[in-house]
Amino acid sequence: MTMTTTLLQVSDLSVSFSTREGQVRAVRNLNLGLEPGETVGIVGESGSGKSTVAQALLGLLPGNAKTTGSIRCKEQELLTLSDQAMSQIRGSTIAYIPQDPLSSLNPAFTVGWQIAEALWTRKRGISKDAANRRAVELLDLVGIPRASERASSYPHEFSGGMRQRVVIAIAMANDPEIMVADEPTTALDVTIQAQVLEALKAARDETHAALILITHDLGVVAGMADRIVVMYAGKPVETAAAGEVFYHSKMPYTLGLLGSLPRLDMDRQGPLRPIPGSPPSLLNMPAGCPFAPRCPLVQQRCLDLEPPLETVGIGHHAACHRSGELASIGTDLFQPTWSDTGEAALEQSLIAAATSTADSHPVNGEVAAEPGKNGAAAADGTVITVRDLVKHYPIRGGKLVRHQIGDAHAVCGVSFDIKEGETLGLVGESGCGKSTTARTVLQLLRASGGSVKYQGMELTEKSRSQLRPLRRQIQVVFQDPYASLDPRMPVGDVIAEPLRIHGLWDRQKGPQRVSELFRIVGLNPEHRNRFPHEFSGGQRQRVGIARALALDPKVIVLDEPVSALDVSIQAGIVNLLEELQDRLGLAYLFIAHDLSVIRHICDRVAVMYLGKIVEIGTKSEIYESPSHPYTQALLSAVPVPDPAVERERQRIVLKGDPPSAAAPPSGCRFRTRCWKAQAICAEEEPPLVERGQGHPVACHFAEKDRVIATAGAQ
Amino acid sequence: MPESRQPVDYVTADVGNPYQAAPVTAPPGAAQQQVDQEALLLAREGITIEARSQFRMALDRFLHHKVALAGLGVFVVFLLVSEIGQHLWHYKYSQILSASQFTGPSGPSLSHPLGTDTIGHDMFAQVLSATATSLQVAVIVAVLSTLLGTLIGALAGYYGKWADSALMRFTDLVLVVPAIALLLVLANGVNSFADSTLLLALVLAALFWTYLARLVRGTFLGLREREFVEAEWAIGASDRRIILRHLIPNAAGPIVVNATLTLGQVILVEAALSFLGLGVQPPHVSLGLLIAQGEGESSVFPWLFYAPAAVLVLVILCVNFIGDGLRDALDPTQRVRT
Repeated sequence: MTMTTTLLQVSDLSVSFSTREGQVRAVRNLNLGLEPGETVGIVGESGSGKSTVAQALLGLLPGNAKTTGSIRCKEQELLTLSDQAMSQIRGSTIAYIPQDPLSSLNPAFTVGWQIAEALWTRKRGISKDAANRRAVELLDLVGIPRASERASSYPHEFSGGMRQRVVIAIAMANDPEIMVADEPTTALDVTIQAQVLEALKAARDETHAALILITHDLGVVAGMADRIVVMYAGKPVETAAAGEVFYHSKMPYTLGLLGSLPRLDMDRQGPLRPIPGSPPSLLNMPAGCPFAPRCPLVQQRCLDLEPPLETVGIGHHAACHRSGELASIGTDLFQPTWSDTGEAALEQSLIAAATSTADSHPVNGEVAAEPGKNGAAAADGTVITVRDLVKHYPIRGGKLVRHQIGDAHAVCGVSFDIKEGETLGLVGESGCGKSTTARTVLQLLRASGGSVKYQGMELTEKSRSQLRPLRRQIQVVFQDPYASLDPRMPVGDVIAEPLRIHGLWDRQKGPQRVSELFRIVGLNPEHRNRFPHEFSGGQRQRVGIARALALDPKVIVLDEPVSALDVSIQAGIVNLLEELQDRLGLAYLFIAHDLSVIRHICDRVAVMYLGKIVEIGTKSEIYESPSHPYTQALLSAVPVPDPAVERERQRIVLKGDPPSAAAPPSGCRFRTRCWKAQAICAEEEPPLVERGQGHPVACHFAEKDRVIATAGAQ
Repeated sequence: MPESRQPVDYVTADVGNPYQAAPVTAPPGAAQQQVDQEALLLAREGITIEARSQFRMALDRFLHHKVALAGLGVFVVFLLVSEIGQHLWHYKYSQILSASQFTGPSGPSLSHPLGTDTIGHDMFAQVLSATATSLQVAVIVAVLSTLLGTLIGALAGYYGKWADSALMRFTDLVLVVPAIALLLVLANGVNSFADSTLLLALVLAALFWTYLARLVRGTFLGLREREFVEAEWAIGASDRRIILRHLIPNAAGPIVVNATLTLGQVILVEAALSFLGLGVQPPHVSLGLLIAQGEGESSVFPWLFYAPAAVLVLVILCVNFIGDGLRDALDPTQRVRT
């Protein structure tokens, strides 16, 4: 590896943006060499500057950006090139695969035309026919079925995953030497992500291009990247071969990221280990190591002097004053805490406050007495009983007068129970009806059929005012902590809302109870006058949890509570939820698409596909002996943050996209994507029954298949 | 049953961090000690935190908005000076100077600070009275139309479906009613000045709410889909509470801006109507009327036009500053300009 073979050499690259508030230093001192055919993963949380790197490489930075350093591609300096000269390089030498395929394709032209356009703008003299033929070839290569037909489709006729594959086809159209993919799979479901990653691998193999893969997902880089750059606060903090980063990291931040991830292929190893605090603002950064405020190994010199990126091994660089001592510590570096730290002194008091007051609050006793009156059904500990739940949405249409022309079957005969103190995970891809199920259980949507019972009481027939007292028992935490809090209301009032609405507010005890709730979720009660926008995402989610806890519920529906958060923050919320469950005896209906989180937190798991539960069982039944082909495909598609495991795995890559809920396939709904499908699957719908697997499975050909090898303990 | 989880010893968990104050070690248990500890924490910060209401915080932010405060100050001065001053000033707005005092229109002087007009009115008295009348009409219209428009828009936007259709078709209907026709029909039965001014205000209010109703409806349609509204349903909040405590504060920006625009607009519309003989009638005066009369003579007797015009511009400017301040005060994400 001499300098002469280096395809791309980034030296000392810094990018800053001038804004009204001051200089935002988005990227600082990035050095990166790229060899032909190599794949480099750039990993970081939101705000780490990784997307700015992509923009800088392609010369796409906005006007207020100031760049220093150098980017040399094949001995040509890119930073000083004019935009016109840069245009010659973009697309032909360096190709870009952006995150959002919806806005990067032109809705007014067919996808075939858009790929052909990429060809004829670069290769003058290519005939129209040749360009079109090549476009079809490329579509076929990235795995679009019936490519010659689909080439004349418009982007809106494609699903998200297919659009992303079209974008990959455009990127590889001119045989680039470098492809830069910025979060190419972030918004996609796991089975679709697997398809897109396959397409990306196909593109890499076809063009022999070097690939820069920018992502926040350590699992994705584990399977794809040869080398990894970990970025934090705009700076590379560790660069090394993939194996080195995952197994012998020399930087506390990397260790923290790895430790905060729940593992799909491992049974629960105790609570997660979140990184305390949140990433620093890139505006007016203080001196010293930017990770110091969150680092358990922090020393005085870390605060005084920012550590440079130094060689710590062969091809291994890390920016940490204490990297030499890390080998002996491992991932035990971070503490398995549930609190949102930052105020160390306060945390001590949280523990005392939460344990002594949570159970003895007057509201608590009063509410607990209520369900006892009609609690006959609670004998076996079942709190929520859902039977044959159906939710249809009318589809309206018509040419002259709008009228109902059909039904979308969002939820189609779903049944499950949740017992006291238990967590039931409801998992599935987007559009499978899991959120609709949650909202119907909560009676935020009225069921079209079936029954939802809370401790034996039927909820679906109750009026809104009859439901109000029951709302105290069943609460909800939403996915998006930005949208679920009223932006005009101080968080103290947000948490007090439930108390006020249910007449439990009084001038003395009300504020006390609010302070207590702040402490229970690990927030500082002094922040009660702040508004939601003054908190980080994780803290906002804690406010949402405090609001749900205010009425001492028995059941909390968690609708994707951690999917909008960065991994290091997510772990703290997961720990908090577990802590609360242990302490308050809550039952959770935990809705998520992240199978690793589900494995970590749930006792039982139900897998949904297109409005139906296809498999339900205990955690070990689902993860260790999945029997429905869809469950197996889902588990197989999830990337594992472990290069050795990831490279050995055999993937089941599903064909196509989930069908529309408005026109589900006859018989088994999964048959259109199933590799086991036979004639009977189209004719007869397999009921969800026990088929000798030890738990109910809705498949004619159910068969245990251990898809994920369970890795040993650490 | 959930599997048992490894217990974690949080107390011994090392969360120490060198540049945070040394942890206050809490003896676990007793509630009293916790209170002490909280007080200690607060004392250390040197502040006492009490829960403040949304209203208080909005008020605080408004009081820190200097431009808005200045605007409010000037507006109040105009209101007081015009209402009280017209009774204290030694000329009345309707009084025509006797031949000995009046020898043709004169410019500003000591006895007539704003001069006199062509038929011998003291302009200062006229402007005082006109400002009072115009402000009365404008404030009544702005308040009433804002209340009505917000209510109708809120109901239509929040409930949607048939309520939305019915209310919006009604709004469309009102939108096409011409103010002139309505005033012509209604003006017949009214004689006194007070009645005619009130009628003018009510008619304008009855017509001006439609724009706001459409605006509020649109805003509500967007807000209704946000998760925090769903969260309120999940808690069991009533519709009234969701609309009043959550949706209207979130729609406050457009509402307040619209109200201030209305205030300015009403003064101008009233001028146009008065000019056509349907608004305020001579000898009574309003700013619009004075401006309309003075405009034709502004090249010869500039004070007749510029004095009322300056008052009008200042009033509208003040109202816009107040509107800006209110909008910022109601929006916590705005940084307060100091």
